[in-house]
Amino acid sequence: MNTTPVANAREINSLMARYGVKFGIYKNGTFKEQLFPFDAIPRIIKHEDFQKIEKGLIQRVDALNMFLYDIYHDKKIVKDGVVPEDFIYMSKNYMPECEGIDPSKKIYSHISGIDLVEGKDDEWYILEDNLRIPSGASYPLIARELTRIASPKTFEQNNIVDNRNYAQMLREAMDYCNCGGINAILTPGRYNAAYFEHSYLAERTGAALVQSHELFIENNILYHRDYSGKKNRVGALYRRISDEYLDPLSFNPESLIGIPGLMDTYRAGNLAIINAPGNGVADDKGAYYFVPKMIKYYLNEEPILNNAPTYLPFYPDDQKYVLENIRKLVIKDVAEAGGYGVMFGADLSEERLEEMIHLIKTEPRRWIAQEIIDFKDLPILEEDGTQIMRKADLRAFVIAGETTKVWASGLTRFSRNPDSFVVNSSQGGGFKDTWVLSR
Amino acid sequence: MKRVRFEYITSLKLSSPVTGHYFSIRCIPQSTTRQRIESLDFTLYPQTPTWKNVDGFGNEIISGSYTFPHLNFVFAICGTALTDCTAIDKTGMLDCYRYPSKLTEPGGEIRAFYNAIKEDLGKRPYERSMTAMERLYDVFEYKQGITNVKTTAEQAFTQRCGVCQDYAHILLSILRLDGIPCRYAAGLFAGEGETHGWIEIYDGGWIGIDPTNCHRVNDEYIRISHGRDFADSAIDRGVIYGGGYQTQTVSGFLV
Amino acid sequence: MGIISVEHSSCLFWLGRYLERTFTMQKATLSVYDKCIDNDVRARRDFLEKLFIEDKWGAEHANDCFQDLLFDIDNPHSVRFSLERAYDNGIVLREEISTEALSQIQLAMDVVDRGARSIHSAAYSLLGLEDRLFAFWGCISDYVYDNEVLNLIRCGKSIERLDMYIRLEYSATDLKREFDRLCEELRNFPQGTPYRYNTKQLSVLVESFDLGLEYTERKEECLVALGKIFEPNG
Repeated sequence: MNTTPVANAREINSLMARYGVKFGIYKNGTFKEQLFPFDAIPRIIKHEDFQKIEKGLIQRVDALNMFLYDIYHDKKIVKDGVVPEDFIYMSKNYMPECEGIDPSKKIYSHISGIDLVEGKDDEWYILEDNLRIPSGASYPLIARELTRIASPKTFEQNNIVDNRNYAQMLREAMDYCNCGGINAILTPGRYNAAYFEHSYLAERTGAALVQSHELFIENNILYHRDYSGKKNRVGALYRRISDEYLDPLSFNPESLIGIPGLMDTYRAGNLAIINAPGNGVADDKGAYYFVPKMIKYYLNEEPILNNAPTYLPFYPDDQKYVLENIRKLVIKDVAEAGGYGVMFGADLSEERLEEMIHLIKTEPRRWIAQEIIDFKDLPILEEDGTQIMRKADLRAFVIAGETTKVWASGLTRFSRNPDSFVVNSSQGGGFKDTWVLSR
Repeated sequence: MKRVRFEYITSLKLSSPVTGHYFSIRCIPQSTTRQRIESLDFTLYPQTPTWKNVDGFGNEIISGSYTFPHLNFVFAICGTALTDCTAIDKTGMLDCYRYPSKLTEPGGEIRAFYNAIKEDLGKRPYERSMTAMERLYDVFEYKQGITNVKTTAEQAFTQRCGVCQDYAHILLSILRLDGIPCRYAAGLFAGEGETHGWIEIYDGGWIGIDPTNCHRVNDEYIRISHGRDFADSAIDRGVIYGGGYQTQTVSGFLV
Repeated sequence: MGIISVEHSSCLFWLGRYLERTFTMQKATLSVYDKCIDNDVRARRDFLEKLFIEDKWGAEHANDCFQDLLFDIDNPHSVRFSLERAYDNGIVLREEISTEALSQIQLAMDVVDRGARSIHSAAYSLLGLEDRLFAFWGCISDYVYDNEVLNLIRCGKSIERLDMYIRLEYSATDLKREFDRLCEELRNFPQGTPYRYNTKQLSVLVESFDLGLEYTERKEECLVALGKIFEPNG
C-alpha cells in the first residue's frame, strides 16, 4: 500500500483551482460549484494486478453488451432459464421502446464505469456496474496532467502507465460507431453537477458541446444548427442526459431538455447514441446478481473478477439464508440508485428489522443482500501533514469500440466519514489519482 | 366480417403563431388478418415533408416538423378496412404485456378485488378475461371529468368510476396479476365521436374485449395503436415551442 | 469554419464585452482615484455622472466609493461584477476558447479577490489584473484558429470600448482609432450571420467620427446607433 504523497501537493491543488476542476451540487435550492477535493497520495495498482483486472473487466463488459442485445431481441438467456423473466420486465429500467433496435456496431454500453473494491484478502471485487451515464473520468485525467506539471520527478522515479489517452479512446469509440456526421456531446447545461466533465471532454475529443435546443430532426436525421443557420448532421451523440428525459415523444413528455423524435432517428439506424437507451435493465442491483451467469452463458468462460457474495431473496434458498443472517448482511433496494436505499443489517433498530424481514418475505423481488466486504482503507493526507485511513473504491472505465479497452487508470473515491462504507461523489468525499505500474 | 369506413381527425388551434413544432402521430391502423386495411389516405395542413417510423410496439408513426409560423394544425386519415374479429392474429406479442406498466401497477384495492374473484374466473385465459371484465363492470361506473390521462389503474379503481381508458387500465392490471398477456388498444368504435380505448388479450392469438361496454370486440372496431397502456398507445404526440395556449379537438368515426 | 451555435455566438460576443468592461472600468476608476489624491473632488462626481452611477457615497466616503467600484461583487457597475459575468460566458465556451484561456479569467478573478483583502493599494494589487487580461487575449490568438470565433470576441471588445469611451468623453483621436478597428472587425462577418452590420446605424457612427467633428454633441445618438449596430437591414 502506498503512503507517499506526490511532491508539491499544494501546487497541484492551486492548479486545480486555476483550471476550474469543479463539480456542482444543489444546496438549499441554489447551485454551488466547488472544487473536487484531491488527495495527493495516489492509489497504486501493480502491473500483474492490473492485467487480471483488465481481463476481468473486458470479459464483464463484453458479456453485458451481449446481454443487452439479447434482451432487446431474442431473449435467449431468459428462454434458456438462466435469468428469470421477472427480473427483466419488473425492472423500472427495461424500455420496450428499445425492442428490436439494432444499435450501431451492436454496442449498447460504449462507456462502462465499473466500481470495484480491494478486499483485505487482496482480491478485487465488483461492487456495481454503471452502464448508463457513468461520470468521473475527467478528474483523474486532469489530475495526472497537473501532477506532471507540479511534480515531474514523481514520474521519473516511478514506472506509471500514461493515462492521458482517455479522450483519444473516447474519440475512437465515437468515430467507430458514428453513423455519418459530427460527434457531439449533449449536455443539459451549465448548471449540471458534472458540467466541467462535459465541457472538458468536448474540448479534448473535438466533439461539439451541444444542448437540446440546438438540435433538431429532419427526415429521421439529427442535425445541429449553427449560428449562421447552417445545419450539420450529427452521427454520434454522447448524451449526458438520462433516458427518461431524452425524447419527450417517447419517454417523459414533460422533459424540456430532450429532443423530440430522437428515438425514431435512432431506431432508423441514422444515429449512434452513447450510451444506448435502455441499458438500465443490465446495471440495476438485480441484474448484478446474474452477471457471472451472463459471462458463462455468452462467453463460455469462468468470471475472472467476482461479485461480492450476493443473495436474491427471490430464490427460496437465498431468502432463507438472508433471513437467518440479516444482521451481518447489507440489504439494498433494487429500485434505488447510487448510495441510496442501502441498509446495513447490523445498524437496523429492532422495529426496522422486523419491517425489513416482512418486506423481504412479501416483496422478495425488490431486494438484494450482500456480504459486507471488508475492503482496504487508503491513507488520506490531512492539512497538517498527518495521514488518516478511509474507505475507498475504484471506478474503472471500460470503452467498447472496435475492441474493448480498459483505461489504465480510474477514479479512486474516498469518503470523509470514518465509519462509512459508502463512497459516492454525490454524498461528499474526495478523489485520488490511480496509477497503474507499467512493470 | 364487415367492410368499414373510418376517419380520424386531430386539429390544434394555437392562440399565437408558433414556428417550433415537431409532431409524431401513431394513426396508421395496422393491417392484420383481423383488420385488413384496403385503402388509406392521410392529409396534413399546413403541408410539410413527413417521414415514417415504427415504434417498439409495432405502431407506425408519421413524423414531421414545421419551421414556418402557423396557427392551425390538422391531421386526418381516412380509409376502408375489412374487419373480421374471428380471425387469428399472432403477431406483435411481447413478454412485457404480462407485466404491469406505470399506469397499470396494481395496488391494494386492485389486489384485494382480484383475490376475491380469482377462484371463480374459469379455465382458459379467454374465459377468465371475460368473467373478470363482467365482475369489473358490476362495480365500476362510467363517469367523465373525474379522472385524466395521468390517472393510474389503482387511483381510478379506488374511486370506482372513470372513463374507457380507466376501465381498460384496471382490467389490464387484473389480468396481468393472473398471468394473462394483454395490451391496450386505442382506436375507433362505431357510434363514438371520439377515440375509444379497450384491451386485447393473447390466448392463441389476439382477442379484443371492451370493458367499458362489457362485450367482446366485434367487427365494428378499428384498432389504431396499441401498447402496454394508454401512454404507450397515445396517438397524437407533439412538441410545440412558444408561448400561448392550444385547443385540441379529436374526432373519429366508423361506419 | 467550425460550428458555433446561436447561443455560443452570443456568449463569445458578451465575453468580449465583459472583459473589456473589466479592463476599461479598472483603468478609468484608478485614473480618477489618482486625481482624487490631489483633492480634485469634481473628478469623482463627474465620473459617476457620465456612467449614470448614483453617488450614494458622497465626497466624505470617496475611498469606499472606489473600493466598491473595483471590488464589490454585488454592485453591477464594479470591475469584479463584470469579471464574474465574463467568466459565466466563458465557462460554456471551453471548447471554442480552450481551457488555458478560461483559466486566465479564473486567475484574473483570484487577483481581484486577493486585492480586495490586501493591505496594498488597489492600484498596486490590480497590476496583476491587466497582466491576466492581456494573457487572455494572447492566449486566444494562439490557441484559437477559427477566425469567426476570434472575430466575435474581438468585436464584443471593440463595441464595449467604444461605448465606454463615448460615455467618458475620451478624445476624438482615441475614438477614431477604436472605430476604425471596429469597422475592420464588422467587415469580417459574412452575410446571413446575425452579426452583419446595419448600414444605417453604421453611417451615424461614420458621420460622427470620420469627419473630425466634436462628437460629444452627438453622444446620445452615437450610443443608440452602437446599441443597434446588429439590427437587421431593411
